[in-house]
Amino acid sequence: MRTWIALLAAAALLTGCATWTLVDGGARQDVAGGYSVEPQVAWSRIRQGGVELWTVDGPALQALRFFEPIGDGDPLFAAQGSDELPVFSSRMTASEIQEFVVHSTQRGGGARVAARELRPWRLGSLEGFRFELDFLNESGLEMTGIVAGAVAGEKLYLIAYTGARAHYFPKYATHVERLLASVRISA
Amino acid sequence: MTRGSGLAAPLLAVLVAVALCGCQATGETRLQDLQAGQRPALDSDEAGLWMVADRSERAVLESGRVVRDPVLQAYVKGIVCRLAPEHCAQVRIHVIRTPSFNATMSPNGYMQVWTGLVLRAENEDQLAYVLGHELGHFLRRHSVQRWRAIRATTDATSFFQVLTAAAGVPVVGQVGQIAALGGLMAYSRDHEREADDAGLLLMAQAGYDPREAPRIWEALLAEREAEDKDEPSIFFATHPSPAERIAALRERAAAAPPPARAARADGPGHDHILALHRRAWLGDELRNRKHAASLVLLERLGRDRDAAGDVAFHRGEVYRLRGEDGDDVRAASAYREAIAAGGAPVEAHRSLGLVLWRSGDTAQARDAFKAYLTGAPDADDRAMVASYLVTLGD
Repeated sequence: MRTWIALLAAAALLTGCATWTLVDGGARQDVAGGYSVEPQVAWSRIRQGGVELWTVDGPALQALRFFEPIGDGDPLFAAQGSDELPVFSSRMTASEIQEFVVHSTQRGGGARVAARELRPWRLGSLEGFRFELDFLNESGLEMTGIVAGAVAGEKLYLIAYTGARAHYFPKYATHVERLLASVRISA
Repeated sequence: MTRGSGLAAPLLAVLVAVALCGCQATGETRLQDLQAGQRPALDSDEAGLWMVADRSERAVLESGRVVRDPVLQAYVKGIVCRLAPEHCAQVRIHVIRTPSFNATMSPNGYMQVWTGLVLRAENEDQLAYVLGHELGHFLRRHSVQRWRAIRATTDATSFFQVLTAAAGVPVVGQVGQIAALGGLMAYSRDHEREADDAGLLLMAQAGYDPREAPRIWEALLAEREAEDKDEPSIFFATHPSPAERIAALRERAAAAPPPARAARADGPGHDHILALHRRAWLGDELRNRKHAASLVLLERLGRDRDAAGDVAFHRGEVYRLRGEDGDDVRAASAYREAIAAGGAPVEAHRSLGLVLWRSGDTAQARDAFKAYLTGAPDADDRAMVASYLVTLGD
């Protein structure tokens, strides 16, 4: 298994199918087959393994992930040994979706994964939720993040912004807040 | 203890491949036991092995998985020093926050002790046996024996892969890789038997009860059988068959004289350590998502009356996460048992609310969520749970 970061990077390197492209700031963008957003700054993007990843400084340090809409019985990410990965159910409450993300992150290689401040939050026009996520990555680097999501049409729409607690997460946190406020869901 | 796992990491695959090859080999040559403070000659292959282990140790220390609890550290170190006082200064203990049952010993004297092992040891004697087993590998210099046997019996490519994989330390977050970093390579079955003997001898000399040795394997075997999977557990992947091992340990433990005095490490005892960490480690156990094995473990831990509330709560969590037919009812029953027993976390009320809501019992779900908010007025998910009450028509 791999973390989201390693999974995407390895897949891109091995297959050569996915390529990085530039996202210009200021124009609305369609993302991951379920969202559209208005970025304020330029990002690099890549889509692989059910996730579209945006980054400025490199995915190991800072990344915004748009998960393709997740259906009943699907894990957060595909990986070898995925029979022990938690899977989504459209009957889950926000508390259980938070648990789903935490357990998936831990099973994917994160250490000391902890979520906090789960609260109702509007994602586009949907009533959803939001929480903060803290963990150590494979190298022991302290990471922090924001996870926002909503369930519509029995699909989970989920966006996660994570980065190194020191410098890289806060560097674009304000831009990400604006971007999250611009989300439209194409459910 | 283990030197491999069922996880599909490339590094691990190489190590397991070599380990499987090595199990057929008979090229190991017995060496003189390690003396207190002994270091290998700088120009020896053993020194090279120590250097690789040094790098692995640094990687593990940086992985963020080491438990920085001085009480726990002192407890485990105390047992090691009681087992092998002359090597006390030479052995470095790193307790690793990982829910699986495991311990590893590196040739340079660093020992990984996983929290899943401490949680599963019913008493200090059982933990002392496992640590004594690891010390047996170290004192008998099994790593260098194994290294030389592998080098003599495998091709150059495999040899190179093992060396570079271990030395390169590409990623350290994975459970299997942490294990691989700890042990560098699998021991042969003969070495495992020899380490078992050493563990029994050391524990008996230190005053621990050798009859506890087979009991920890019996408990582990029960968990494995509950899992009902072909995939070997991280421990059983590289070891003699559990039945064979348990039988041998029983026979040898029965022949050993009972301890003249009960050995105990200085400071707080095993029960105190478990009381400090049980809740966090059981939370890790849930994330391991081996539900059937977890239920067996929880049944055993539930014999401790002081742990009844915590154990019942986590049993409820296992049922809620597993979600098979009837599990919501079982979970609700376990949460109620936990709340009645006392000592359960306040989250038992929230989890009870979740399963009752899912079962359609909205009135009782509301009551449970209200009990959670009353019990945890500063909960950081208060707004979310309050929104559930609104949805439920409160």
